[in-house]
Amino acid sequence: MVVESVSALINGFSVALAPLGLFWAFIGVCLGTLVGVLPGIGPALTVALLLPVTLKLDPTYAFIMFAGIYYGGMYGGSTTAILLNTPGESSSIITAVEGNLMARRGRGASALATAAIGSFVAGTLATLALSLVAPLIVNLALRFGPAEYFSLMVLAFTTVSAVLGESLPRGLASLLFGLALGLIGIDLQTGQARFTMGIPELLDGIDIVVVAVGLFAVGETLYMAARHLSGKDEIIPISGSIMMTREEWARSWKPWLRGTVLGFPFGALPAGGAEIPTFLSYMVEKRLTKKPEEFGKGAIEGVAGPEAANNAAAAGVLVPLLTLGLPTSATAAIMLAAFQQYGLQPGPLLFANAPQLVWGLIASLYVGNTMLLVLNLPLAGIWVRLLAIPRPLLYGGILVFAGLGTYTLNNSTLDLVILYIIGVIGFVMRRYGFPVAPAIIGLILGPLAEQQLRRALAISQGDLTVFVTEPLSAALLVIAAAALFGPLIWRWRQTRRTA
Amino acid sequence: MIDQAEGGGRRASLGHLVIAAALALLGIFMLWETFSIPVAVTYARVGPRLFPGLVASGLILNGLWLALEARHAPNPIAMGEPPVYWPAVAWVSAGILLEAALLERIGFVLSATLLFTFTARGFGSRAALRDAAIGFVLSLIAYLGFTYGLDLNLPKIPLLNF
Repeated sequence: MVVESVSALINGFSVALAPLGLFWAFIGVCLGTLVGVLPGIGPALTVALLLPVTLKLDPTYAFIMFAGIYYGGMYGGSTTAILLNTPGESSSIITAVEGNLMARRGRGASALATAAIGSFVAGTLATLALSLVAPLIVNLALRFGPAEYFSLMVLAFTTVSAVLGESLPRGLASLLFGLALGLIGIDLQTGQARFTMGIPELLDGIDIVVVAVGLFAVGETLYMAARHLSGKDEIIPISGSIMMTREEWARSWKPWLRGTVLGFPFGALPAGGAEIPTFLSYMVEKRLTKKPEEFGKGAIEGVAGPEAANNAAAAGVLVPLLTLGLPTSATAAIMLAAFQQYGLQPGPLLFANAPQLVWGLIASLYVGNTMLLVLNLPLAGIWVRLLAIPRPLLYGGILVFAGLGTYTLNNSTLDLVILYIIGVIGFVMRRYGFPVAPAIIGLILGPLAEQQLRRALAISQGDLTVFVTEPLSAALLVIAAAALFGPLIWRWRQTRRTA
Repeated sequence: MIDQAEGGGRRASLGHLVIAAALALLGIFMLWETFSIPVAVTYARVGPRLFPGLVASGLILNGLWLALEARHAPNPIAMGEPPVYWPAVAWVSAGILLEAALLERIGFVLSATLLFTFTARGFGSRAALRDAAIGFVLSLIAYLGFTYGLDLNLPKIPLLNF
């Protein structure tokens, strides 16, 4: 078992270390760092915009590039968080707090260094864990039937709705909106048109690229424009030595390891998301530090731990994506769409049918991580200059590429109108605190969930109890119900106790 | 969007109520449409109606839940959001809709230049000529890259055929 996966991984490295593999990994990590550093765009949007362009590329190299963008976005995001105090992604919120305070105290270089090295350590260890855990889950998943898959997807739906965002009904609203969009088009099993309202262009459904670009690029641009923040952001110049001092190393390495241990399992669970482990890591480090007085003023542990947790969780998210076909973050959902574009379905069979792709992808994560350390540690100063791009030009550029990517999907200006409508919805969602990621996950996972639901019911001849009589499926549904109603019941009991 | 500069708690909870109502109405519409999907007898139970029915019911129930929650939901301004600056939203919206309307008439490069210039204006830039020049160069590079690098056909500028 272990021997097999080691030899598979070695084969993967022969793909990732070949000149073409290195080339696409390099393109990916550069693009990823770029979009991570720039406010307003992130890895999910970037991969979505690249989907139509990469159609003709060999899938192995496309995924090596996507993986580089995915990891690179994490590295770049922390640079922006530290120097601009604008977290590019919700998982960098903590980094933005302590890291920006460090930068203000003239220790920006140390903050960048501990973030980059911590990301490297955590990313590498978590990728190692991914290489070891994935084959085990694949073996388990081979025993899953349609009922188990459907229940697993229900679990993913409920946890992403509960975890992402400020309140459960708002998370669910986003998810249901995505599920509803995913239903538009021809039902593949019966050939019936559903919810197309007589518009022939809708028969093929609404493309995930339009939805992702609308919610992320157009929604974000409208939202930022509406805030109309006059005045410039304060970019703190990098100061201090690029090398961490001996004391800073001593204070960093344990938080890196603890962050990794917290981050990976959270990412790997269908609960997904990197926010919770970064918050947990911050609380743990605050309690364990020998210098608690520095927390809230720029403590290096408060950057090292959460950054490691963030990257480890990002690697963890790839476990359910690759082994079960279950995306638990917006970027993972777009990657699933990329697999579908090539006619591939992630899951246990992918490991058997396309080992070169899967293990090449995993091997490229080690390679990409090493490249990112080099790109981000000595070259941080170059990336920082991107922050000086004036906002009017930055968002103008984002929309030009958003329009270009959307139009080239079908050469249809109707897609641009849909793009705008979805962008307005994304704007309202941001404004009123609705998370965007559940909509993307619902859109891409909904049709797969329906397929498994109908398969399971076809096998059971329409008997709905199949989901609760199969023990594994029942267990998954119980966990899903607990994730949905647990917090509600808990809160209700709390208010009764205080009343 | 209901909130304005003076938007107090009541106005903002109205915003949440509008969203809740919109979701519930979407659910009702979907339920209506679901029952109009033709179903062959053999598919009666596992057919194309079951999942849409579930989603539609979920939307209606969740709309009710959101409406209940709206009483406690903080309004965007209470959450630290500045009031919506509508002229900026209008500039960006006009840019996108103009591109949708003009792309196939005046070509990609010119319509994207317009989109760029309008968006920059929405973000407070006053140097329209400079923005247009930068937008033109950016769109041209993108156009050439897509046309010659990726073999994709983007609408050309009429008469110039470029």
